[in-house]
Formats: sequence, structure tokens, C-alpha cells
Amino acid sequence: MAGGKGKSSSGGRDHPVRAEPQHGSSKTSNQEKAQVTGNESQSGIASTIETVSLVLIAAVAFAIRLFSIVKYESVIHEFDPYFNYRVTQLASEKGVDAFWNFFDDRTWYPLGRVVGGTIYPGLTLTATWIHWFLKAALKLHPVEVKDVCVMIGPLFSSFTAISTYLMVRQIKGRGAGLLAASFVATIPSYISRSVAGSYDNESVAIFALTNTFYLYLKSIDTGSMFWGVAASLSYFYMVSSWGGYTFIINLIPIHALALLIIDKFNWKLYTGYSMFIVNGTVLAMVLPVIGFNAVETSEHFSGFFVLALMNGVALVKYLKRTLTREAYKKAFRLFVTTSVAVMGVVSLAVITFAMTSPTLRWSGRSLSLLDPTYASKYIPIIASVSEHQAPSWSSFVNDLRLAIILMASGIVSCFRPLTAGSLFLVIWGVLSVYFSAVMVRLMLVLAPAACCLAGIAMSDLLEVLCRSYHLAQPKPEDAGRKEDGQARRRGRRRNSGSSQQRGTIPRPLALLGISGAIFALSYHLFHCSFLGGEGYSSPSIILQSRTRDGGVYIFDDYREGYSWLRENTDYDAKVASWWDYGYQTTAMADRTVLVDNNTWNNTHIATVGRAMASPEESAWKQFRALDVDYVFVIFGGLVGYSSDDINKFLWMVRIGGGVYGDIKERDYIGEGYYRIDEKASPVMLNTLMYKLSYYRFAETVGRDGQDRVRNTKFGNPDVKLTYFREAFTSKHWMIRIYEVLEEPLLEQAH
Amino acid sequence: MGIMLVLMLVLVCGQSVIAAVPDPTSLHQARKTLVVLGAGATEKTHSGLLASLRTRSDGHGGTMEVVKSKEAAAKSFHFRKWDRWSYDSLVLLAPDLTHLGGEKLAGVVNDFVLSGRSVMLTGSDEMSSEVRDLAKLLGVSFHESFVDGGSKNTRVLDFFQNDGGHAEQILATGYADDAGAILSDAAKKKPLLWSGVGSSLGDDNPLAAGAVRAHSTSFCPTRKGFMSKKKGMGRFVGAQISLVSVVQARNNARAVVTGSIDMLSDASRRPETSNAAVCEDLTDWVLGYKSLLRQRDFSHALVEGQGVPGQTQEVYRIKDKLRVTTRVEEWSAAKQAWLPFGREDLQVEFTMLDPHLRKTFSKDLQGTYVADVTAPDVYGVFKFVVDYNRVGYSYIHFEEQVPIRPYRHDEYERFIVAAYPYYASIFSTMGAFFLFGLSVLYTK
Amino acid sequence: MFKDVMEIAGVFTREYSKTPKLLKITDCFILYAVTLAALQYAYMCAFGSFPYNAFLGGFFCSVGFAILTVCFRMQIDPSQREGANKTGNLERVFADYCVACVFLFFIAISYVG
Repeated sequence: MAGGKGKSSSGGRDHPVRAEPQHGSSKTSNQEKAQVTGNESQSGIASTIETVSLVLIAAVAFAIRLFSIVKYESVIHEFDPYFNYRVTQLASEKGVDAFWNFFDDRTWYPLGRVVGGTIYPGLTLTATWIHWFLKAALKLHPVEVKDVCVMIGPLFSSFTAISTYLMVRQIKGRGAGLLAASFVATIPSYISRSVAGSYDNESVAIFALTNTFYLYLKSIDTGSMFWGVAASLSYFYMVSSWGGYTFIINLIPIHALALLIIDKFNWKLYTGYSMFIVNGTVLAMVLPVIGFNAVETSEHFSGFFVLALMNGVALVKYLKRTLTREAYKKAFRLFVTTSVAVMGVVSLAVITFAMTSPTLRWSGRSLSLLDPTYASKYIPIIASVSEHQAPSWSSFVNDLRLAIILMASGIVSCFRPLTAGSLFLVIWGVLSVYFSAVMVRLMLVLAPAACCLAGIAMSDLLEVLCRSYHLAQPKPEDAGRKEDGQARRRGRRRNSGSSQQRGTIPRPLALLGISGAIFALSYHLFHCSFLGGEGYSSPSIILQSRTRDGGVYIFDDYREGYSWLRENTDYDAKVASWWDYGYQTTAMADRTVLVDNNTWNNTHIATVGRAMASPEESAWKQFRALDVDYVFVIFGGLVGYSSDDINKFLWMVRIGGGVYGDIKERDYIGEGYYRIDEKASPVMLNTLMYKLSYYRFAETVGRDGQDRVRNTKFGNPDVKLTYFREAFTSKHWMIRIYEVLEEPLLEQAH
Repeated sequence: MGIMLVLMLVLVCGQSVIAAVPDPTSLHQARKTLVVLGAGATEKTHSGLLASLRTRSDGHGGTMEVVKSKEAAAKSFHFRKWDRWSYDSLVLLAPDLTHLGGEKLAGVVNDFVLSGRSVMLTGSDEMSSEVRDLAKLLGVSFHESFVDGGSKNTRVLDFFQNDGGHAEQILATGYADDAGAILSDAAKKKPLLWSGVGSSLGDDNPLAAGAVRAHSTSFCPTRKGFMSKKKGMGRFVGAQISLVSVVQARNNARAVVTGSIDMLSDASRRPETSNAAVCEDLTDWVLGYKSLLRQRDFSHALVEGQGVPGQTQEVYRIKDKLRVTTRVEEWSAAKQAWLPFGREDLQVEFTMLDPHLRKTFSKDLQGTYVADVTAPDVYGVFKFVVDYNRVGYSYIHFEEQVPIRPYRHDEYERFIVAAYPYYASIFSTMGAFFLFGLSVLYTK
Repeated sequence: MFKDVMEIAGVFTREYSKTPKLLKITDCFILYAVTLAALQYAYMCAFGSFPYNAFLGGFFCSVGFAILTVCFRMQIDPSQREGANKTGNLERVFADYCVACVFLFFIAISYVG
């Protein structure tokens, strides 16, 4: 168990062999590399160990994500990945052209969805091309598309580890790079989104993110236009994979602005940054999902603004070089006044343009990030997604463990010395902390930043300890200090002069420190693999619980229900349910649905929500108007599954009420709070959702029985249905499918 | 050998029985008609009706059976046996009937109609509660008010439009405007002599219509002979009274309900009344000899747009021009064949949640209905809907799902003239780059 | 103020004539690209933005070319070479520049159509 994990810390232990004078100097990474190559003969062993470590880190990154395959089966998890999988199947069978123009008429009935124009194609195309490559070039015929889709998370996380290593090596050094890579490979927050089977945009996007940052920092450091092109290409890949690309397109201008403010402008920055912005914008516009948004939405304006500013600064510096001093002074004044005037006019134009839209040209999702209260006021759908809630403290510690603790120290390390790269890490870390505090799903953006900073901190610490272990220093300068890591770091900070003065810690203390660090790292790794295995590898489509004798009991109701739909209904049957299950229904049951997880049309979702919240006859009419043949609900009362539709019902009411005025949340809340027992509101007991969930339930558990989720008695045990007929109820009553009856053949008189 | 024959017989019978599962529109073509005579109707008093029924039945290849109500009510009478019906249409001239083939009348005849078969129901002032219930199930509610606490119901009174001063013998002229689908124009010229219990249809019942309505001076009296002032009895006054109601179920099964058995008798067939013609038309209609439609061969193809013209594409594109054709045929009992339907008010709708387009079909030389539509500018999952709902004619409701996709990425305009300056600028930039390269490399 | 502008312009022209020939040629092309961009913007304002993607393609192509040429100029400018930054020799910088320009033209053409 300790084998693989031990290796990553051993890479740091060998640091002092070649890295003696580096810390504390303000050399750039170029000189650092020169130093390294100068010691080439010494570092033969070091580079071997480094390569081997990197390979092992990549292997660990791959392996730690395979728990779900071992524990359950090779299946696609959750909800969103099912849509991605379905689209990938189409792309690999019918070609990229069919995928690019795919108009999906089996979802959002009757509106349809233009998939080609609303999807981020990066993930799909990656999986398709990998599959083609395996089939055509390597001739591995038994590999199916599903296998590629399941494995893409682990594969790309090893790539992420490698590109993180490259990025941090660029910024600080090899040791920091290896440590950062090892943190990224195992951090639970990233594992949760890229486990084997989680075929979602983030699995590929985080690799694109770190790669883009690496190439961008490299282009700023070398000033070569070639790296600028590479950075733009990587950015293009990022834009095509995830909507979170807006974070990059705002982070990089902020970083450039910070560099301008601290007067670190040089031609390399200009080259790298301007190429990135110009090429990146045009490339982003190529994708249909973004199109003209790249020049029309506020998310992109900061890039252009800083570009203009940078051009101004470059011009000023050129004038400074060219003109004489007096002329320059006058020109500077003039230039500042004119440019302020021009910028004022342009800003006015831009602001007027922005005002034309009620959200100031920010998209709803971005606004809900900038103003955390926005979503719950205006867009209940965004507020209702569980991933969009604010995280608790425990989730920070749980998901990031050691990284979040070392992150602060890493930020301090970045300031000594402050290079462009380390400033970038600082800004990235601080901004992502803010955003991850707004939404739980954005912890994923914090994770690589925390890992890089933690890697840097850990490598600094280990370097001091290892150096002091190797250099037999008789001067116990810090003899009186406390014997823990904090004191050593304080000691290090005080000795910021020449490098030979640093690390003057007595050998036994250094040894203690090293073993402490190894213990901390091993403990962190153990925690990560435990969490990866137990916490994050369950596909939410299969649920499990423990039996009394310790065995595992599987609830496979979802797939049972979808398979029933697939086998027993017409191909053209329309199925209505809440939007959470839309992707799974189209992918596994292969039936047309009304609404799905894409949630692009709030009114249509509100229509379904309103139908679910109406009395039976009215709901029947609404569903008949939408040509619905089957309705299904998820009910967890028999087995205690708490994410069922009755618990989500208030969101249906809120979303429906947001569009239709006749649905008022007040009406559905019983005495004191939302309840479904005898004190529930009569409107609630009359809704279609209640009837469909509790139909015949009292017969099964008895009239005095209880619903195991709410743990209350029934509000209305006798449920009668006249317009719906029960078609299927799964084994544990989790999925209940009803048929919508047709109009009666005769109308009776009264 | 005998066993083989029996087996073959069973097989053959079994097969023919299986083959006899009715298609509602083909049901009325070769029929077995049952006429039940009861109180108020005998072979002598209703001989004209029976004779005309028999002539038509024999002429159009069916059979007709006349039984008395006592025999029909007995359990031994085979009306329904294990979900198989022995008859295809039913003419009930027995208002006092309570059972049919051993089962309760309302239930069995309701199932009869739901299976697609047709019934003509007559009531009278002595009608049984089963007949009343049956009429309710069909959508017609008879007026209920017994004379002097007995079981005889009051008849509709009209002191102005009656025959020779007898208030109960009404001369009705309120024929519905149905363009000849049920009652021919000849029948509507003269008044109808009618005497019986009035009925009323629900306002919101789209399936039922009054073929003959009472005049505004008629009313259904209370047992004392006055107009009722009770709440809810306002529908039994004036033109709201339906004397002869026609109901067509959603599976195109037909029913005629009337409260007067005397209307069909020989005594009311006088030269100045149109009873004979009306009876003929009503029985024609309910037994399916006229106004029977079927829709066949709906097809749609591309006329102009992206794709192969003249063929049905998998997915059409917005702004494509489509041609829709369909055939509607009317059954002609005389020729025993389906002939092209004559009317020209059939429409097709192109619907997504609400109709985006509505076009009236035009007829071409073969009698096919043709319409040219242009797919709208909106993409989505549309459906062609042909919905024909005229009083008296069979319902035609047909839907076909047609997705309409937006433009492909390569179907947009290319080489737009307005954009020539931009193309020029790009090429000039490329030229500038080339020149620049030359000048950089070759100047020293 | 106007006098100031003239004075600065005079100083500038005097100093500018000292720049090497190569850089002057580069500046010409930069100015050309910038005017082209301005012309396209004026055209769009005057005649509407109907094929918007064509406008964006052309505009970004000219702006991108201008920026790339500025980067090229920065790298071969001897007055920039002070400090610890090594700039490459002319051929290498030019090769870099070629790659970047070809890439830019490629995406501009594919976007404009």
C-alpha cells in the first residue's frame, strides 16, 4: 500500500542533489533550466527517478479512479453522462457530420433540440476519435464506444497530472512539479468528477485547463509566437469542452492586468497575451454553441479591455524610448488625456450596449456566480440544482484535505520570488476560492490551484528539511524553536538572505520533519483513496445498501423501469417525468421525453411542473395537449430513498409558479411546513404527484403504515385514479410508470 | 376422418370468427340487423318501417331478424356470447325492455356501442328505467316526470305547432342544418309528426347533436301540466328540447335516440308529414348506409428544398415546400363500394402545440385531396393533423409526426455580395504578409 | 496644446528617422493592417452587420496580423535587446511569425465562409 505513494515523496528527498543555490534567487525558469542542464552529469539518477515518479503518478491517477468498475460494473454514471454517451454513439456510428448537424426530435417534445448548436463538442469528438483510432489504427475491435467513454476520465486525469507537473515545473522547479502532480492525481474533488464512468465535460476540461495554463505561461516566459499558437489551440480545446472556459478568459486578463500594475510589462507578455486573446476569440467563435457570444457577452469583455490597455502601455513605452525626455513628458500628458477621453467614449458605448440587456449582457449562470443570491430570486431552476448550493466547511476539508491546509503557505511561497507564473497561481487560487464558496460544483476549479500551491509549499518545506539533513550544519541557529513544521518555515522566512544561511536546522530535527512530512503525505493519500473508493465511485443509477450480515444489496430499479419502457411501449411513445431523468430516459429507455437535464427552456419545464402540481383531471388535459402517453414518478417511500419526486415537489411548484400565476407555493404547504400526512394541505393531497406516488401504497404497507422517507402517516390513504392507469411499478417501488388514458368513447349525460 | 372434419371445421370457424373482429367502418357494410319489437310497436303498426328496413337489408347484402321483446329478453337469446356479438346493429322499438339476452339492457347495449356497433333507441311515455339509463350513457337525458305518481311520463306539449289542436301531437320543423349528412333536403321540407317524451343534450357534449329540435313554443310539462320552475329543468323548454338526437361515438359508432315510438309508426306516415322520409333517412344513417367516410393513404413529399423532390425525406428542413395528399372515401350502399368523397371542406393543419398552418385541400382529377404547404420558419417536431368533424359524417382524425430541422451548417448562404470587402481585406492581408516576408528576408 | 502636439510630432519624426530600415518597413505593414481594420469597422457601421461572421473574420484577421507584426517588431528591435532577455536571430523569429500568421489566416478563412 505504501509502495506507490512513497515514491512521490522520495522524489523530493533527492532534491538537494542538484538544486542547491536555487531557492531565494530571482532567476527566471530559463536560468533555472540552465542551472539544471549545467548539472546534467549529476542528475542522471535524478532525472531517471523523476521520469519514473511521473509515470507512477500518472498510473496512480488512472488506477485510483477505477474503484467503481471494480465495485459495481463498467457503466455510465449519473444523469448528464447518459446524454453525452448517446451523442457519442451517434457520432461514432454516423460520423462527425451527422453529429454536428444533429437535430434531436426525441427530446423536448415538441420543440426538439438542436444538439449540434447547443453542445460543447470537445468531449464527444475526443471519445469518437479515440475510438476510431483504436479501431482503425490499432485494430482493437472488441473495444466499444462505451468502454472508451467509461475510461476517458481516468485517462485524461493522468494527462492532467502530467500537464500540472509541466506547469509547476515551469513556475518553480521539478520537485514542486512532481508534488503538485501527485496532489492533482489523487485529490478527491477531482476524482469525484472524473471517476471511471463519469463521462462528463469536466473529465476532459480540467486537462484542457491545466494544459492551457501551462502553454500560456510558457508563451509568456519565452515570448515565442509558436507557443502562443499552441496556447491558443489548447484554449480552443478548452472552450470546446466546458462552459467553465469563461473562468480562463477572465483569469488571464486579470493576471495580465496585475502584471501591468506591478510594472512587469515586457514584450514577451505582450506577445503571449495578445496572441492568446485574438486567436482564442476567433477560435471560440467557430464553435456554434458560442458563436457571436464571444464578442457580445460581458464574460469576454475583460480580455479586450486589457488588450487595449496593454497596447496603450506598449505604445507609451515605445514613445518613451523614442522621444526625448521633455517631449516624452508632454506627449505622455497628452496621450493620457486623449486615451482617457477615448476610453471614456468607448466604455460609454460598451456600457450602453451592455444595458440593452436586463442582465447587463452577463449570462444567467455567470450572474448567479457573481451574485450568489441572484439565482434564488430570478431563476429557480439554477437554484434548484443540488450542485449549485454553497458548500459547507466539511466539504472543503473532505475534498481537499492536505491541499487546502498547505495552500496558504503556498501563496506566501509564490511571493518569493514573484514571477509572472507564481503571480498567476496566486490569483488563480484566490479567485477560485471565492467561486468555490458560491457553488459546490466549482470546487473542481479550486482543486488544481490548491494542488499546485500545496505542491510548491510542500516542496519548499521538504527542500529545507532535506538540505539541512544533508548538510551537516553544526550551527543550531534555531535550537530554541518548537519542533514542528511551522517553526521551520518561520525560520526559513527569516533567513531570506543568501541561500547558504538557510536550512540551518539540526539533523535530528530535520529527520523528524521529513518523517512528519512523509506521514502527512501518506495520510493524505490514504484519505484520498478511501474517499475515492467509498464516497465518489457510486453510479447514482445503481444504489446499494448493506444487509445485516455485511453483504451488499443492490437496488437496480432505475434500469428496471427504463428497460420496461423500452420493451413495452411504442417507439414513438412520449414519456413525461421531471427533468432530472430526461437524459437517462432518452439514452436507456430510448423514448421521446418532454424535458431533460439540459434545462434550456424554462417555460416547458414549468409546464410539466404545473401539470404535476394540478388535480388529476386538469393534469390529464394538460398532458393530452402535449401528446403524452406515459408519465412516471420516482417514489422512495417503500425503501427510504430520499431523492424522490415528493421531496423535489416544492421545486416543481416554484418553477411552475415562476411562469404560471395560478400555482402558488403557499397552497401546497400544510400546517407549519411542507408535509404529506393528515395535516397536509388539501390542495397537496389532490395533486397528480401525490396520487401517482401513493396509489395503492396504503394497500401494501397497511393503512397505519408509514412512508419510510417522510416517516409520517398518510394524508390520504385511498387514492383513486380515473384518467391514468398504472402500467408498471418496479421491485422496490422506486419508479412508477402510469399510462395516460385516451378520451372516453362516449360522453355521458348528467 | 370425422375427427379431421371436426377439426377442420373448428379451425375454419375459429379463423372466420377471428377474422370477424370489426373494423368500425367496415362493420356497417355486411350486417346482421336485429329489430326488437315491444310495447307500442307491432308488426302491424310499424309495418312500413319494417318493410323498408327489410328491403334495404336484402338489397345491400345483409340479414335482418325481428324478435319480440319477451323473446329477446330471455337468457337463451344469443345477443352476446363470451365477447362475441351475434348482431352488428340493433333497432330497439321496445321502450319497456329491461333485459337483452339475459343481461341488463343499459350495460349490454353500452358495450355494444363501445365495440363500434350502432343502435337506434326509441323511448315512450312508458319507457323502462333501463332505457332511460342507456340513453344517459349515450349522452341523452330524457325528461322525467310521472303523471299522477304512476309510471307514465308526461309528453312534450306544444299548444301552437301541433296537429289538429292536440297539444301532444307536435309538428316539428326544427331540423338541424347538417348539409344532408343525416336528413335529406326532401325530408326537411315537411314537418315531422312527433309525440313522446322530450330529451336534452349536454351543452358540452361534442358527440351528440339534435337532428330535430322542438319549436320555442314546446315544453316538457310537470305532472300537473305546467312548465317546471325547478332549477336545472330549464333545458327542457323550447328549442333546447331535442326530439330526435344523433350521437356518434369517438370510434364512429352511431346511435339515434328519440322519445317517440309513434313517430316511426304507419299512422304518422301521412302525405303532409315527412315521417316516412325522416325514418328512412335516420335508419339509413344509423345503419351505416350513408355518410360513412374513411381516410386512406396519407402521404407527404418534398416539392422543393434540400433533398430529392418528390420523395418523403427522413427529416424535412425549415422553409421546405411539401405536398400533402390523402384520399377520403364515402361508402355507397347502392353500389356497395367506396367512392371518392365529394365535399371540398377538408383541411390539414401543421401543428406544434398550436397550429402554425392551416390549409384547405383541393381535389385533383382522381378525387385525391392535395395541398401544398411551406414548412414554417420555426424548427421543431410538428405533426400533420387532418381533423374532420361535421355533424353526421364519420370523424376523421389523423396525425402524422414530421420533424422539421434547422439549416445544416453548410446550408447557409455563401459568397454573399455584401461581404466582399471582408473577403478582399483578408486576401489583401495575406498578400501583405507575403510581401512583408519577402522584404524582411531579402533586405539587408 | 496644438503647439505641443506639433512639437512632439517634430521630435518624433526626428527620432523616428533614426530607426533601422527593417523596422520602418515593419511599421508600414502594421499601419496598413490597422487602417484595414478601421475601414472594415467603418464599412460595418455604414452598411449594417449582415454577414456578421464575415465582418468578424475580416476584422480579427487584420487586427491579428497587426498584432503579430508588432510582436515580430518587438522581437527584432535592437533597442529592446537590453536586459537579460535573449531575442532569437532574425530567421528563427521570422519562422515563428510565419507559423503564427498562417495559423491566423487559416482560422480567419474558415470562419469567414
